[in-house]
Amino acid sequence: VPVTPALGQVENAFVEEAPERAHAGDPHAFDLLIRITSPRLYRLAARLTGSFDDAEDVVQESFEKMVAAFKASAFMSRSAMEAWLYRVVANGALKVLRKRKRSRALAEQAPPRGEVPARAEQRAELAILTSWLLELPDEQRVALVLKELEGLSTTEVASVLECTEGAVEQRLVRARATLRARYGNE
Amino acid sequence: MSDFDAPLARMRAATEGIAPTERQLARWQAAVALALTERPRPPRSRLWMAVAALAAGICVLAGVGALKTATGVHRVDATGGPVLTEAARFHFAQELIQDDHWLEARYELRKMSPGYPGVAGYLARAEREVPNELALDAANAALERGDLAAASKALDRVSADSSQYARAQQLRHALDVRTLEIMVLAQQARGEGDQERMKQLTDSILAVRRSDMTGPALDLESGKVVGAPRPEEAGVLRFLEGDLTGAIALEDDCATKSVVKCKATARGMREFAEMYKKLEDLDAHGLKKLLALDREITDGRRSKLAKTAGIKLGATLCKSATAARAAGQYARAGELASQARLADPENNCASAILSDLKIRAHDLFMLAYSLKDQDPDQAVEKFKLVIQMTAADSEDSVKAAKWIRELQ
Repeated sequence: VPVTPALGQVENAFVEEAPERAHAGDPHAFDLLIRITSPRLYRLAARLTGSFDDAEDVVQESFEKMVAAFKASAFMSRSAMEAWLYRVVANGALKVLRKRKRSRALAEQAPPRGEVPARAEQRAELAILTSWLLELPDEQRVALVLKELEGLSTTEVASVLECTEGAVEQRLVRARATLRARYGNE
Repeated sequence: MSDFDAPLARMRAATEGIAPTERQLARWQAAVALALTERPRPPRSRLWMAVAALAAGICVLAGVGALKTATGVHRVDATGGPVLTEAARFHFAQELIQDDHWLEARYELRKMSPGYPGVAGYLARAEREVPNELALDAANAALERGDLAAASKALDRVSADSSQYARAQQLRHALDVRTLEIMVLAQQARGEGDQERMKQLTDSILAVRRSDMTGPALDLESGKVVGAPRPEEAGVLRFLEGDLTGAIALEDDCATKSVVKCKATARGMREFAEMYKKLEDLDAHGLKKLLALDREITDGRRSKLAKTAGIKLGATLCKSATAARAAGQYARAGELASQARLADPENNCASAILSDLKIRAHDLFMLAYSLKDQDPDQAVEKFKLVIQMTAADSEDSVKAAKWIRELQ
């Protein structure tokens, strides 16, 4: 069942409710926050790793890191936290890709039985996307996915990747040049 | 649209609907709940991995420490020096590459096993970049000894796709500055009727002309300057580099030949210098004036000194923007943050505020959208706020305006 973000409640979900409830010992303090932020994070992880299974693990690890960072008061505002989560998910996905390169493992496991057709289609598209972006260096791949698929602005990509806008532009230019050279004539 | 934009758009659309299932949500929520309430003990295998990683880390640190102590430099003699682990050497090579020290990086990478992940790719890049690095070093040395022709030839050897683009641009700019200065001297010599000196000076820059040069050109046949530079340009170039004294001296020199523009530029530069002395005491208004003066002098280009002022103005404006945001004055916060980013494009604070406002505006838009049927008046109020918080051409602003028209 797809989850739609409960927009409008986002601010309260983190800025007011979550820290207070978490400090009070409520183990479900972040439930709403997870519900709101996870669709974008999960989609990003899937697009980067090309695998639903890996994406699920990456997002879980990122939320666990979020709790650790929250305990250490590493971020204070929701927007900062969201960018932080985006960055953690992107890095987590890259880690999966590097590990996969080393082990030469298959990109995706066999689809589960009874998978709905829409999900199967998405799985197939992810496989195509993964093979498409395979030749790009990690930094360029993340920049391209964030900009072209996730629709972030250059400034936002720079914020997620913690680099300058110029560096983002450079990565995008190089990624496009590589793809153009590889697929331009197909 | 390029050839691969269409499949990219298709993939974007095809993967747009990816969303977690309730089972996945439940799993994440349970994991976070566990992390919040417990301090999980790592399983035995993880403990062993942690111990092994710690031991490896100590070895790497010891190796690097010993290396630095023994040699004082990064390179290691294969016959006697301490040995770095592959991982440590790879990391070291990556750091060298980040600093564009390709020659040294190649030296380190060649010592590694070719099968180590990433080594082959980096080595291939190093093979391409080392000649560029050497050419840039040669250009730098030639510029330092005043041999403009040699510097130009060396810069021509740098490939267009080099990752050392910024350094190449910097050296090209320095070469342009030196060339223009000599051109001004050549023009003066010509004006004084000293043909021999004029020829000597123009000869030295004959080989420098490039297609992307912004300054005047030389007639290769006659060796004379054609399309004469703007008289104040030499001083302005010095100004752009942050050399106020040199710039004013050049403009004054130019002004003695009764060139009105040079007098005006020199006056502007003096005013800039006076204001710049009090940079620390300038408020936002003063800083804006200083930057306007810089734009006037440099014809829209920004000098190095103005960059400092821009950073200060950006910080000042962003402080006000932060306060406005805290007070709930989102429109004002957005305007101030935009101004801050204009003054200092690298101002992270401004980018963060603008990004935050964009998110808030979108959330507010969605809230207003959900209210439009039950409480249209409140929805209109919120749509109006969205318009104040966002740029006029943003999607949320356009949609909000449309809904206000429909609801009123």
